[in-house]
This record gives sequence, C-alpha cells and structure tokens, in this order.
Amino acid sequence: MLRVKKQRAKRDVLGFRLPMLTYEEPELDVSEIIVIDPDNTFFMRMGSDAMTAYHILPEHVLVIDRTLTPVSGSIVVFYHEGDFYTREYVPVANHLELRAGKPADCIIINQTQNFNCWGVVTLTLNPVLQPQHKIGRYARVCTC
Amino acid sequence: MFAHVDINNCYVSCERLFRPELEGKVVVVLSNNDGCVIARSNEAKAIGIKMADAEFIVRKNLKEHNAVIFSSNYPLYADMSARLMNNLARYTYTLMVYSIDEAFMALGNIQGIDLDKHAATISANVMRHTGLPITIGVGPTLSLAKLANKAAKKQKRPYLLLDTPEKIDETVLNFPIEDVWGVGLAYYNKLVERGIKTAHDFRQLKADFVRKQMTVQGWRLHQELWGKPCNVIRDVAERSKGIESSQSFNTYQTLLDPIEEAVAMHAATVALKLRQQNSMALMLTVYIRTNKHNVKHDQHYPSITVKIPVAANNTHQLTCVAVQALRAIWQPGYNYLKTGVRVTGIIPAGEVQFNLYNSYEHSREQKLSGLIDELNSRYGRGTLRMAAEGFDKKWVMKQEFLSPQYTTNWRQLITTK
Repeated sequence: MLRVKKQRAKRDVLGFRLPMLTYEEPELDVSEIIVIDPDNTFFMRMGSDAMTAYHILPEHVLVIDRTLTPVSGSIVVFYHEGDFYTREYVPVANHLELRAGKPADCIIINQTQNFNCWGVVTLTLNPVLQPQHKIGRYARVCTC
Repeated sequence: MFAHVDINNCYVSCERLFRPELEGKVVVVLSNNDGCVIARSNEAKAIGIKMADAEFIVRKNLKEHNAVIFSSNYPLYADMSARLMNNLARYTYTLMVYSIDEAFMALGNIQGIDLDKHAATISANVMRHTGLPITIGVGPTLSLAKLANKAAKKQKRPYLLLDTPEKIDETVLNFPIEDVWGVGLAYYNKLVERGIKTAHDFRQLKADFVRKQMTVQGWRLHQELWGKPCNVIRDVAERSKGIESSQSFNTYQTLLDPIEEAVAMHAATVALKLRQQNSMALMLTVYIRTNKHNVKHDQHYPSITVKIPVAANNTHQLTCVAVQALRAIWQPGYNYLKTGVRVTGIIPAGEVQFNLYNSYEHSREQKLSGLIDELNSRYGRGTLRMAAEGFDKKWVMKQEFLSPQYTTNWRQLITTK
C-alpha cells in the first residue's frame, strides 16, 4: 500500500555541505514490514495461554489483517458465542477445527457457513525485555 | 458513470464490528451529551425510534426492547470512515468524500471495465476488508447515483446499477419525491401542491417551468434526473467558510469560570481546525445559551461577534479574543447550558494583511501552536493545552455509554481468548 515515508530529520550544516547528504535515504520504518495494508489492519491483544504452543503468549499484541482469506494453518481471530478467540484455522472434511495447544481449548464448528472469520493474524508482538528494564518509557514496549 | 457509496447505519455498524453479538438487535447511538438519537439500527427503526428523538422520551421504549445504547464515539467513527474512504479510493481515479459515511466515485472512462462486475467487486471487497456494510448506487449523474443507492437500500440489495434509460425509468417511477437528493421541505411542499409525488412525476415537468419555479438548483436536479450531468465531482475539499465548535454542559452553569474554560477549549479546537486547513480567521463569534425547553428558567441567548485584530489561527490569540468576548456577554443569574465558538471571514494563511504596528510579533505564538500540534498528534489530543481550558473540567459532556476506542488507543484494544 501507498505509505508516505518519513524523511530523516535534516540538520542545517553551516559553512560547507556534507558530501553524504547527496546519498540520503529515508530511514527504515519497522511498521512497513509489520503492517502491510494499514487501512485494513487492526490490533487486538492475546488474553489467554491457549496458544502458548504456537508462541502466542498472553499480553502479546496481535496484528490482524482483514484482507487475507484464511487457509489451513492460518492463525485467525473469530467471534464465537460472546467472545473473540485466536486459534489455528483447520478445515477438516465437513467441519471446521479451530485448534489450540491443548485439546480442551479447541473449538469445533460443524456448520461451517456459520463461521465468520474476523481477520487473519499476520504476526504477534512479543516483548522480551527483562523486568528491570521495564521502567519509564521502556515499560511500554509492545505493551500498554 | 458515477457511484454513490455509503455505510448502512454508519455509527451502529462501527460499534457492531467490535460487538458482533449486536447483529439483529436494537442498537442506537446518542449525540454528544447523550441528548438524542443520531443513529439507529434497522431493528431500532422498526420499533419506531425516530432520528433525533430525545433520549429521555424514547427511554422506556428502548428498555422494553432491550436496546443497546451507545454514546457517540467519534474517534472510532472517524477512524473507520477514513479506512473506508482509503479502500474506495483503490477502485476509482476520483473520489469525493461527501460526509463521514458517504462518498461519490467517478467510474467512467476506465478502460475495459464491466460496471456490474466492478460494483460487485467493490461491494464484496470493501465490506469484507473494513467490516462495514455498504450500499452502492451507480448512475450517469450524481443525483441518479444517489437515487440508485436509496432504491438499492429499499430493495435490500448491496448495489444497484442504473446504466440504461429503461432501468432509470423503472426506478424513478415509484420513487418518492421527498427521498430525492436536494428536495427539502420547501420544495417538497411546493411540489406536492401541484400533485407531484414521485421522481417520475417531477421528470415529466417542463425544464423551463422547473427553472422558473425552483431556481437553478431545481433545474439542475431536473437535468440530472434525465441523465445530463450538472454536478461535478470535486476531489479537493473546499476551504470551509465557517468553523464552529460547540457543546452542551452536563449541568447548568451559573458561574463564569467553567464557561470560560469551555470557551477556551472551543477556541483551541477551532484554532486547530484552522491550522489543519492552513487558513486564518478574521471574525470570531462567541455565544452562550440557556435551555429553551426549560420554561421555568429565565432565558438568555447572547452572542457577540468580534473582529480579530490581525487574522489569526494560533491558539493563543483566539483563546484570548474568545474569553474577552465571553466576558462581554455573560451575565449573572442565568442557568447556561451551552456555549460555542465560531470563526468566519476565513482566508488562506498566505494572504494575511499585517498592519504597521504588529509586523511580526505573533510569529513566536505561531511557532508555539505548531509545536503544540506536533506534540498532541504524537501523544494524544489535549496533552498540551492552554491553562485557561481548566484542569478538572467538571462541565464536560455526559458520555455514559461510551464504547472503547478499539482502533485509536493501545490501552483499549480487544482481548481475545
């Protein structure tokens, strides 16, 4: 998608021009590779340890793209009986399995036409800072 | 060919996207201060809730039907609206955003395009990608596109194409004249007097006659209904002629201080909007109002318009002028319920006439306002503001049924299981 790239902050240099100014490129912006279609991307938060086996831990921020159609093996967010869930999407014969790490957390949907996929999770943000680092503005690295 | 696209029950649909269980239920959204109904689900329309019904009047009816009520969550609606518009822009070379939930698209001259397929694609993709239900009307003029949209809604279709004269004839035949775009109450009364009840009847009138009776606007509408374009798509927003910010208080205000705080806040909002469209204002109006529905109270609706010394758009100056103006009209002994600030005489920022005495004096304030905008856009609205806006804000509006800001606040994301 079209995205305006931020230009690097320019500093006026007195006296003479730095030769490297000719070769300036916009800085790398991590949102470019995290959010592919910003207009149709939403964020949610993982609230349970059901998907720990898939490396999705509680408190992870989920990046959800609504333009993708789920295929077998996709991690999807869907609404089911009053709650949003994050599970692996696995169509089997004539029903739908929404798998989690433990069988107890799996959801089976028999009438597949009733299933409404809210979006496909493209990645999750997993902060790995040590607790003693989580102070000041660093307390908010991929958390709130 | 043009398309008119709008979101069905816009605000309700935005709320439902994050609360899918509300599908099929009675849902209403209330205006600022939870005053009256401004959006209704189809189910709410079915139980007789009307647009702009006061909340306290329909409260009982809503309760009986287990209605779900929302305070208006404009950050959410604005974000969803922007998402929709950006999606629509992918399917046309000219998009005119007409309001928060409506847009016109130019669909002509796209090489080798099958309009029916194109409309179906837009409808399916945009609904799936944004999660908002939309209706598309396509016609040879803007008026017919809008008419097609209304007709599609009545037939419960996602889109309707009026690409042949036969289809147009068929659609206008029983289309009520009051639902035609641009026919207000005045025109409606005039037309009904002459026995004109449908768009078809209106089309049968002679063009000269329409021009005489209904001014050039009516004539344009007549032409457009015959498929001759008179309105054009403008994809550059016009500079607005006036900008206003106003809001009711949550309770009656008898003291000057809280009203001053509110006026300062409105002045800051107006100043921000001026800066966003890169213009400046010459005149500023402040008004305060008591509650006209409360007959027990003495009524007072003073308003004052003052000239701003030099056209301005910085928060500093506008707040100063607004607060001074308020002090000139405020009187003790009244129960004020609403206040607002409006600026007019808007000119492009580059065309300001300075005078001998103020030359460049305000440039520091200009820079300060720019800095405030930058910080507020990074850290959230209201992070930096004038002290005149107050700190505890006891007067701010009621929002008892506010939904989370799912898409604009990291702390209010939905948690999944």
